[in-house]
Amino acid sequence: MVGPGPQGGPPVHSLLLKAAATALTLGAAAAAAVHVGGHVRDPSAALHPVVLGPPAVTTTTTAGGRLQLTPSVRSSNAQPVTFTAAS
Amino acid sequence: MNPDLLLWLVARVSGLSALAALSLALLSGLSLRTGVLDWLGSNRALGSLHEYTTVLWVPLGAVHVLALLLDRTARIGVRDLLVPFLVPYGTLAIGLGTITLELLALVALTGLLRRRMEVRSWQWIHRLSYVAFGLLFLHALLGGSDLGDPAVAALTWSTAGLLGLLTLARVLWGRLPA
Repeated sequence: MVGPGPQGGPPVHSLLLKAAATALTLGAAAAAAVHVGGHVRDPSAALHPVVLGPPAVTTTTTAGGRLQLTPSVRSSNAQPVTFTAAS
Repeated sequence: MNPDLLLWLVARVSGLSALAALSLALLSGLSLRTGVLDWLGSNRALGSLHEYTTVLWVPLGAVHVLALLLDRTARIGVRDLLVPFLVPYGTLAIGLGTITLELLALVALTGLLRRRMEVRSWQWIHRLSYVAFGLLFLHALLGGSDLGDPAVAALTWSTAGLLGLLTLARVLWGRLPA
């Protein structure tokens, strides 16, 4: 599609405008890919989903009763240990 | 590479690109009413460009949503695409994304049905795209992992500021002098 220019100016091809918009979007995508590739893990990122879910509990019924198995490693709200001291 | 990490990177790249494409969509739409891009071409050519921008932002937005749905770490389900503010972390940021998705889907769908709709109804629904862009900006600001970077933040804020000024000019004065 070809559109006439303003005030009878030279015609501007809408195809050219679309190509420019596509190039801008692809350029933005490429720049975003470069940026994200260089900042894969960002500790200051706004959102931090909890990686560890609640512990999976396995209940097994045996002849002597019921046995519940839970993983020994669990998620916690405790502050991480940042130093160790030798006595 | 861990598949979830790859999906997370894809979600970030597509999210940033969709924001850029939607900025172009809003700018071309505003240009039809304010005349700020009159130097680029006639309203017919700019209108054609505005319609074309859906080809750019819809697939990028779809990739952003799909990548987050498949990313097990993000823990976003189909229900979260329909009902906002249910995700246990980043509730506000992700909830705003849900509302933006719904508004943009409505705007895009009614864009396809424009000729079958009453003009006034279509116009009011189409104006929701201004609200959607505002919410999208807040979604990116509150939840985006990359807006902490000064370069990304500067680009995003300046684009949003320009579009905000043009929107204000469109509301206050309508078509601007050439």
